[in-house]
Amino acid sequence: MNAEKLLEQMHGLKSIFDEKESELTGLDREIGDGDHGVNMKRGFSAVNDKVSAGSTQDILKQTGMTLMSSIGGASGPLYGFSFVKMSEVAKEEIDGENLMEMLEVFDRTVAEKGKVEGGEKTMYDVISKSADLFREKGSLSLEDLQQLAEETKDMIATKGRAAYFKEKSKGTIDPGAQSAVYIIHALGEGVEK
Amino acid sequence: MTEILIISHSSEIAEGTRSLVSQMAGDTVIHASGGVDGGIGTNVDQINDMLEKIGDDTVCFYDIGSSRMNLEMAVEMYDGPHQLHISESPIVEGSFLAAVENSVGSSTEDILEKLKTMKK
Repeated sequence: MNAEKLLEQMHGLKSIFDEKESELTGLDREIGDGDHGVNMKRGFSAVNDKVSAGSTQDILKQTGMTLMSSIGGASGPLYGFSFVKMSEVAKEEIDGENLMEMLEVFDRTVAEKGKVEGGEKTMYDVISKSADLFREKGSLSLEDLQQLAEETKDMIATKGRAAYFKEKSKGTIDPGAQSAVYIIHALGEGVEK
Repeated sequence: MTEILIISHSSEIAEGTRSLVSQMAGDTVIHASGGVDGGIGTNVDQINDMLEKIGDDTVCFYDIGSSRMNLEMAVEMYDGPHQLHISESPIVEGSFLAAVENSVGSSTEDILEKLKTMKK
């Protein structure tokens, strides 16, 4: 993936999150405060407006800074800061190896800044498994990423707002895990091992 | 001279803590901010803006939830000339202690040491 394609992918997330707003809002109403859909939509709408052409590093950094300043709560800063950190390792042509490197940075950043581990029903459950998924399958399909999000259904939330719902959080996909599916898919679309 | 940064979810807490601390240590520079868009919250931009204004090494205090995460991110992205330290001490008692120590001439290291062993 080159800079031009990456910019198209980042801008393209606006229409994805426009389309998925009600889905994410629905999930977040079940186990959160119901603002994840509108937050992601607002964030990527700002990305579409503000992020302009440049190197892959510029684009990822601009995306991160924009997300950090336009989405409240924990998910905006975590996604935003992860993009900033990924920008530091991105190459001009993001190939399979570089994508894995970026996904590992994504993993480390969310773990460290979100103080989260696997199995806690969060975005991290998708992010932390995506590098392995890519290694195993050679690409990142929407179906395979969705499967990772589905696995959060049976988990009980212990982090974030959903933790207040305890056992009741079972049966619903974590909204952060669901939004992570779209973001990682956009980062990896068309990249092969 | 060491400066103090206060980031809270509430503008009233930030301003209230600033006035409390200023009364005891009026010569200490305090950067305080709280709330987002007139409501409750913190964000990274707001902390970045405060960090642009610091003039010396700074001890930073945060209150609850995501303020710590946002502060950590802003500190990690800071590329200015000063040393930034995040204190785990409670925002009111911690900033108060830091300002009083600062006003009697303690070094940043001494202030951090005192904060580590402080009891409410």
